[in-house]
Formats: sequence, C-alpha cells, structure tokens
Amino acid sequence: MTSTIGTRMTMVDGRERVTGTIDYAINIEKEGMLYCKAVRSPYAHAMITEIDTEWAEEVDGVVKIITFADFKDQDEMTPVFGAVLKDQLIVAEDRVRYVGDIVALVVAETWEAAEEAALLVDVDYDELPAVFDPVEAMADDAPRVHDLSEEKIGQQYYKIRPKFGTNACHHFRLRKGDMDGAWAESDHIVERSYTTPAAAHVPMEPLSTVAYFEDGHLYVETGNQGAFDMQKDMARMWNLPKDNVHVIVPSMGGSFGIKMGIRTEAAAVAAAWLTGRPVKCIFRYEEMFITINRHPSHVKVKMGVKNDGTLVGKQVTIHYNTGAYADSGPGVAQKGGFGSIGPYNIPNCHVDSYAVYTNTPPNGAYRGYAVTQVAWAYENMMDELAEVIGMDPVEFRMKNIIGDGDAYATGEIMHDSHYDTCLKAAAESVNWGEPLEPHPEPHIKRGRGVAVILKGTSTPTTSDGKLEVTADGRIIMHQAAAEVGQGARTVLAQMASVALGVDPNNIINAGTDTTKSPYDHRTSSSRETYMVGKALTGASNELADKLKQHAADQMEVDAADLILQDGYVMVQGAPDSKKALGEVVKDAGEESFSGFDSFTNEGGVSPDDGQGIASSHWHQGACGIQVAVDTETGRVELEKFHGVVYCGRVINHLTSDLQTHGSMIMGFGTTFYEAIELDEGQVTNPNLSDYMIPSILDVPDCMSHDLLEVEGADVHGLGETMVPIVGPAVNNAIYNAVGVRIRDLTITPEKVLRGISGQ
Amino acid sequence: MADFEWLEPQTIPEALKSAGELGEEAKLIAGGTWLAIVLKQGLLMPSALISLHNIDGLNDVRYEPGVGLRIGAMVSLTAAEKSPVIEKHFPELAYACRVVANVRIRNQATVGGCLCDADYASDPPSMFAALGARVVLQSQSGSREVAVRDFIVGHYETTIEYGEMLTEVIVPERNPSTSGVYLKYRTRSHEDRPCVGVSAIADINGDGVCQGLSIAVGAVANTPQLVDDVATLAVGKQLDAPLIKQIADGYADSIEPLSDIRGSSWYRQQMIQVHVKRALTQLGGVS
Repeated sequence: MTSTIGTRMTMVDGRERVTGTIDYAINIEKEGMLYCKAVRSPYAHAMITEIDTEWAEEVDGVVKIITFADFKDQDEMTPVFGAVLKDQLIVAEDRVRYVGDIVALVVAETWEAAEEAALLVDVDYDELPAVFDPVEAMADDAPRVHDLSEEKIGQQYYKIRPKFGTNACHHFRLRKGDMDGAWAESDHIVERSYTTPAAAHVPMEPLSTVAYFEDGHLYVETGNQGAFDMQKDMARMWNLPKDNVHVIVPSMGGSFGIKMGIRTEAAAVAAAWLTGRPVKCIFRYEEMFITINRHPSHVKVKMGVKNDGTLVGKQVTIHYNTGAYADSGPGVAQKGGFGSIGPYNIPNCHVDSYAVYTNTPPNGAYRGYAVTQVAWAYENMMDELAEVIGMDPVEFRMKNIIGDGDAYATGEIMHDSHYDTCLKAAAESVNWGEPLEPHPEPHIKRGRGVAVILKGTSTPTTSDGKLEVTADGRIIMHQAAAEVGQGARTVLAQMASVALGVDPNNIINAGTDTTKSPYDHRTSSSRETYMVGKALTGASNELADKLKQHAADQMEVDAADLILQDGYVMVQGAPDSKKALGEVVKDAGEESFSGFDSFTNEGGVSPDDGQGIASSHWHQGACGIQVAVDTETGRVELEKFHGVVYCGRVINHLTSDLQTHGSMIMGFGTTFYEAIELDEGQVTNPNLSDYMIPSILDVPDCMSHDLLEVEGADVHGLGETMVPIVGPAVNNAIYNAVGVRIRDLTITPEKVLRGISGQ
Repeated sequence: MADFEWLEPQTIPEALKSAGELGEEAKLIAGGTWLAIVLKQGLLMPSALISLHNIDGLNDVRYEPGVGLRIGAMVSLTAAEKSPVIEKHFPELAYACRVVANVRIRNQATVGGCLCDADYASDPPSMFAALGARVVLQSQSGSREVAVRDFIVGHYETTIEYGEMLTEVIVPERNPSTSGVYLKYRTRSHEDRPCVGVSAIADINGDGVCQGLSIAVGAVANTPQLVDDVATLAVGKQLDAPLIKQIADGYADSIEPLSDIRGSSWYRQQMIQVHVKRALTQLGGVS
C-alpha cells in the first residue's frame, strides 16, 4: 500500500454516515433508561420565589422533579460548573439570569411524559432589572449578573482577570510599544466601531447525553468535543477519582463548537445520581438556540498610519457579550484580543478585550473562535484606512503584511508565514487591478474586495496517540480526537498508516473512552490533524521499528533490509520473503505490539500584557469577492467567491475541499443572514424557519478555492480559516460597488439599501 | 405536545359530521406543516385532529370550461406546481407554488391548508387573491363560496366557521389575452418566506391596451393587499413606464407594511414599489 497522504481518499466512515447507521449519542438506549427534560425561565433576570411541582408530579410516568433543593445540605457532590469560571448551576438556586436558564429538571419514564410534566412545573418569579448589551453592562450602575469578588475567585482561576465591580468576567490586555508616540508619529488617525451579532451553530444532531452509575464508576456517553475536560469536570463535581469517570464519545452529527463544555451532561448525570437509573437528557433543536451561541461583539478600533501607508499604531477595545455565564468567554476575549491586530506589522499596539456578562443566553466556542468578530473589524478597517490615505487596499495590505522573522504584537517571531501569498492569490482571483466590466443591467453595480486572516491554534496543548497491532492481525488506532463529521478519523488513519504501509480503511479506531484512550486536549481550534496526527505519526514510527526488529530476528535478516507493506513485513527486493504483521506479534509470544507518542506545542501569553507565544503556528488565509449589488433592492449577489487557505501539507484533498466549502458556506450564511434576534433578552428566532442557514440553492455557483501547500511544511488545520473573512471581503466589495460601508453584521439588503438611499 | 384523538374519516360527509359534532374541540389537518408547529409550541391544544388524508375526491385538479380551474383542497403544492392543467391555464399559479420553502415542505403542504392557515408570509394566497379565486366551504348544512380576498381576514384568521371544511379552490376562467406573474422577493435564503410577494395579472389586448389589472401583494400585511383603485388606473391604457411608476408608487403609498425579521416597514414599502414595477414591466409593459 502506497501512502494515501495527499490523495482524495473517501472518509473511512462515509458510508455509515450517509446511510444513517452511525450510533449517535441521541440514539443510545440503556435498559431502564429515564428521560430528562429541562424547565426553563421565561424571565431574563428574576428571583425565584416558589417552585410548585405538584401538578407535574401527577403526570403518569414522572419519576423525579429536580430542583435546587436536591443539591442542598449534602456533601457528596458540587452542582457548579463552568469551562473557566465555575459560575453555572445544574438548576438555578434562587436567581435566573436569562430567558432559558434552567430552573428544574423533569425525569420520567418516557420523553413525552417528561415534556408534558415540564409544562406543568409552576414557578413564581420576582423580576429584576436586566442588561443585554455588553457595553451597557460595563456601566457602574448596570445590574450585576454575577457577584464576582476577589474572595470568590481566589487563586483557583489561573490567568483570569475579572474586573471586580463590573460585569466583566475577564479583561485581557496586550501592550506593545508606546501609543502616545505612535499617535504623534501618525499622519492620519482613524477611529471606527464595528459590531457582530450572536449566531447559532446549527449542527444536524441536537444535544444529548446518556449517563449512569455502576459500581462507583460514572459513565457519560455524550456528543462532546472535549472528553478529557468533561472527565475532569465530572470527577470534580461528583467527587470521584478521575479513573472512575468514563466519558465515552460517539461520532457526532456536527457541532461547530456547540458541543464544547458542559451542555446536557451535568443534567443527565445529576438525574442518574438522584434516581439511580440511566438517564438520557436531550436539549432539543429549539433549546440549542438558548443553550450557547456565538459571542456578539462591539469592537472599537483606532489606528495611526503614515502618508506612505506605513502602519504606526493600533488601539483596540473589544467587548464580547458572554451572556449569563462565562463559559469560554474569557478564552474568547484572550484569543480575539491578541488576534485583533491581524496579519500586519504594527510597532505599537494596545488591546483591552473584555468578556462581559449580560442577561442573554450564554455564548461560547463557535467555528472561527473569537476571530470572526475581530477580523470583521480589522479587515474593514484596512479598507477604510486605505481610502483615507488614498492607497489601493491590496497594495496597502501588502506594504504592512507580516512575514517570517517579523515580531507579532505578542512579541513572538513569525515563521511559516504565507499571508502575502494568500492575499496575492485572493486578489488575482478577482482580477484585482484590471478594469471591471459594468453589469449589463444599469441598476446593478459591481465591486471587488479582499480580506486576509490570521488565526491562532490553542497553545500550549498536548495530544497523545497510540497504535497497536494484535496477534490476530488487527491494527487499532487509539486516540481521542472527536469525529464531528469533519473527517478526523479518516485523516488520522491516513497518517497512522504511513509507517505501517497499510490501508487506512483497515485501521480500527478504538473509540473514545477517557479511562482507556490516550489523552487529547480537546477537538478545537482546528488542531487535531496537526496535534493528534503528529502523535500518531510518532506512534506508528515506533511501532514499525518494533515490528521490524522482531521480524528481523524471526526471519534472520537485517532489520534495515525490511519494509512494511500491505500488512506484511518483507525483505526489500524479495517480496516472497514476507510475514504478516500479526504473525510477527504472535511469534514474539505477545498479544499485541504498540507504539506511543505524545506531542505538545509550547507557548502561552500573559493576560496582563499579551506577550509570549500565542500560537505555535498560525492559520492563514484570504478571500476574494466580486459582488453585484442591486441598487433598487440592496440585494447582493456573489459573482466571484474565492477562498485561499494555507495548509502546509494537505493530508486528504477530498475532506480538505469539503471542509473549505463548509467554512466558506458558513462564512456566507453568517455574513448575510445568520443572526440570533433578541427582544429583551429573549431569542425570537429559535427555529430553522426564522433563523435561516444557507440551503444548497444559496451557495454561489462561482465558489472556488486554493489550498496552498509548501514542500516539507507542517500540517496546518483548515477547518475554520475561511469563516471569519467572508464578511469583510464581501463588505469591502460592496463599498467598492456602491460606496456603502456597513459596520454592523449581518449585511442585509435593507442595510445596503438604506446606505444607498441615505436613509 | 398535548394528547389528542386522531380521526381518519373516509368521506367528506364523515369528516363534516365529526367537524360539526366536535366544533371548537377539533382541528382539521391537511399537510400539517403549519399545524404541527403550533401544536408543538402548545399554541393550539385541540382534543381531536380530523385528518383529511383518506378522503377521496380532494386531490383532483381539473379545468372546467365556463367555470375555470378547480383544485381539490388536498392537492399538495408539489402536485400543483407539476400539474400540466395548472401550468397550461395559470402558469403563474404553478410558479407561486413552486417557490414555496423547499421540496420537503411542498411535498407535504396543501393548497387548502395554505389558505386556511392564512399565514401572512406565504406565497400562494396573494396569487389566488389576484386571480379572483374562490374557496368552496362545505358543512353539514350546505356549501358556500367565498372569494379568497374576503376569506383571509387577518393574521392566521379566516372566515371559515367551526364545522366547515374547505374542499376546493376555484380559479375563474379568464380571457386568453390575460397573463400573470409572481415575483417572490426574499432577503435571506432561497428557502425563506417572502419579504414581499407580488402577484400581478393583466389582460392586455392586441393593441397593447390593458383591459384589466389585478395586483395582490403578499407578506407585507396581515392579508394579501389589493388596491383596486390604483390597479384600475391601468384600464384602457398602455402599461408604459410612467403609468407603471404611478401604479407602483400608488401601491407603495396605499399599504402600511408590517416589520419582521425579513424587513422593516420602511424597507417593505420600497420593495413593494420596486417589485410592482418589475412585475408590470414583465407583463408586457412598454418602456
């Protein structure tokens, strides 16, 4: 078997996926299993005065109605959780903080009974003043969503910097150079503000967990991107040794970040703990829209530039609305904070990035993590600045673009930089610099725009991998990257197969169980192909060496003369003298041989000045757009839609193409119409009729992309790269076409028309 | 979803008997694309649903000379868009059915259902209104016909009475010199409901003179909006650019549009103007 690296190999689980035979978490059934349904607050901020469960308990099949009283006066477990700050309860104690906050859980023999009883739980509230906007929430007199205090936070929250006395649960700072000097040196200083709304993840599979206790062990079968985070959290909450917590993660039907952190898991485990039976907790489709969304943001940018186009200084103030609970908000504030400078050389930078509590549904990880918000700001700003100094936007970017050996705003020295190549390819895709032929319809105007991105990958993190050959000839891959549909198992099997010379389709994936699987940080920031891939490559090299050494002894040849191919160890040049891999193991008197490797990317930044290594390497890309704007309606059609993604090396061209299509389409949807609508904190479009995602008919026929590769380079993740830059590239093209600059996503036809007509 | 009884009458009289007896307790269910949502949301909690699926004779589409097109209430939107009879006599109606939501919805939703739920953000109702269509309402005590424009009276509100059932829609015969157009304007996905839907029907003779014009604008208010005194400005005249503009402006000025997620009132007003203009230009307007 020759290596499949760089081919268009189909997904190892493709057939199962399209024929619907994958056992998703939502399909799991256990004997005696109960169903758990949440009862949610209709108020954005209120005190609970009474919970009456009497009617609900009378519903046939109801086993238990869980309220905070069930967690009081006991020391077996702690009902508090949160990705960074432990600020969320399984059910509210006395206060609800958003429309959708969980006040009770109904556990019943059937899902229908649980649903019916949930409607009958009668809760009385006293409303409190609420706050919904992250900037307003920073005011001294704004209602406090949580009472954070130094005493409560203590030392346990490493690197978290709440701004006590405000709703900011984290304040990330980046400080580089001298701002006063920068402004003095600048010929032009421009200030602009940009905003982005919340957006929903919309995976096909809703949130679901089955949990049960057995002999002091806890089993959590759940669709989640962070199995080991979950293990740690559940062990802490239920006071169990980590080795007794089995987080088992089946294949998922999409996630895009929604299945990161505790979602249905805590409720399912609590219900199992209180009833002594297996429990399935489901958050149905409409509940996903109020469980976790993308952080809305306000981004204020001030930039100084010289007449010749040299960037001198940049000051950014970001308010990420993290909603009623911090979730990953502090991480978002940090990653967006250092990401907000963009792929440019700017000697003086000053960033204040806040994650701010409000009385809206919580916001968390979302494909394009933290960067969609700041790239919207920085790539619009680059075009606005270019206009101020009268320079071509591509030339202006090229003049300032960061490259190898340059120091980023964090102080780290950049390597493997290809921003210029990406930008050039994006500009060429729309024939930048050549005359643009007018549209045949006089009321339709054409324009072109580009945008470039820099996005970090989680640093520092660790991933382990193990590869095993058994005496009966099975090859088993042990790793914990979550398969969310992105093709992780396929590319990892491809990478693991190289040293063994086997068909990746013949590699069995052991599945994720935190008590057995090698460690993995989590499936996030497009890191798994790079991180787990590296560990598995090391593991398979070690295994191959082991097999060769044993085979050399058994076959009485020199190990250096042996190769591994098609499931055999064979003497190079003498294919008849070969031995099946399993036979080598068997003849060595072992049940199996294995290889193991662990890979850690080093780095990290200080939350106080943003200095350090923010990302062990950076995701890079660019987008080229040509629009046709109907000046009578404001409707925008894409005539060219080109993505450029730097990949280092492409492991699988098929799945890479599909991932890039996916991220471009998600970028398209979130540019034009994907936005959570809120009215006094209540989501008014929590369904797929009112919250629209693109259908296949919406995908522009012109959509195309390049995957940039460099001989010998490291693999770079590519799953998210395009999402954040579709918006600014489209917006720059619209400005080029009709002179309208929208600063608040999404780009609706109405906003464009208002701009055109001066309304 | 609350429990309910599921009834499957085999004939129209059986269905009418159940509907008459159960009154406000029961809901008739056709495709269920709308009813299922409000049931799940608990907005309606009928104790019985009367399914019309097994009733013969509600699935026919036929053209009756002297009367017009007769479409059974249970004809799905897919069947309507693909019906050669509808395509031959009223192609703009087939088109208005074809652009509803997506194929999964169209396979399930019915012509009668989409008139009875009276959702403002729907495509076919404005077309039926512009075509002067009538619904046939049957009950145990008899049958009556109501023009679609009088049938839909508000947001999710019609003049149907408990015990009545919509069995048929009649689109009246028209002059061969008549043609129509439906312009669906969406601000989001192709699968979205209309921000504005313009149904325009014009009878233009060989000399280019307009002998009749009907325009119904859907999705902008609780009911399809017809502004007769503006539409009749065209009668006896050529649909030239100044007249088209006058009619488009007249429609935009006469309608007080609602605001929703697909566009504000201000924006809809602009879009009514643009799409009435575009519809009339397509209908053989001379520039």
